Amino acid sequence: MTFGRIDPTPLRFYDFIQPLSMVKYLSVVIPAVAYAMVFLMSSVLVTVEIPQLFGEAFHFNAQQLGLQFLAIIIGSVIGEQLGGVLSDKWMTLRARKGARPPPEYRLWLSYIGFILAIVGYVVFLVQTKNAGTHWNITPLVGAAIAAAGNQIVTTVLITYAVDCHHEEAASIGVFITFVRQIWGFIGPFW
Amino acid sequence: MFENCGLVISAGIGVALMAGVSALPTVLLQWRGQSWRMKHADYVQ
Repeated sequence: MTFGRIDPTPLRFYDFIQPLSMVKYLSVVIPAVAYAMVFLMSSVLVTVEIPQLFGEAFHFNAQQLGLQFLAIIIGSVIGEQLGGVLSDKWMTLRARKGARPPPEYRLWLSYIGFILAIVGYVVFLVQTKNAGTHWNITPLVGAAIAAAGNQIVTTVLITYAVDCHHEEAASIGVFITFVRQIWGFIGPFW
Repeated sequence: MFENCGLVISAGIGVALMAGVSALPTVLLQWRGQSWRMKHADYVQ
């Protein structure tokens, strides 16, 4: 077995920062920012705060805290299946009526994701407060809904951004991930 | 944030942020996205 580079073109420093040039496309920047904010609230915040809030309120040990995250797994899996299937079905359904629809048509689905993420996030926080000192499942239902919404938003927005600029697909993926990671890092400091 | 504002107000902050930074710009994107793309004339959809 031999190892070697797939593409022998020499690496340049610019190759590493080229994805940042995606900032010139508004149809990439807006999905990146929108996705980053939803990711921060419905994924990062929920994940970081479950140990924090549940640990304080319910005095959970590590194992109990770990089990809480099952809700996020379930929510994410459901959301990803929904998001992927819906996204393509939506576009093909529209295509049957006439010419291939513009990428913006896909964005109708993102609102479902936003609503789920917002509702799930609110349910999570409000129900955690209402739970007092006795754990119940309702905050985790909120966490699962938020995770599902997050996945739908992810799928729809990234697909849209790549749809808009096919030739830059790889850079768009890197750029959106970069924005998301930075946002997700800075957010919890508040 | 949770210590200063409490959970319920933080929920409100989150809703405002997600609505204002994510949902509303997506509305704008859906409205204007096609013309923004056309301006980058190297790729026409």
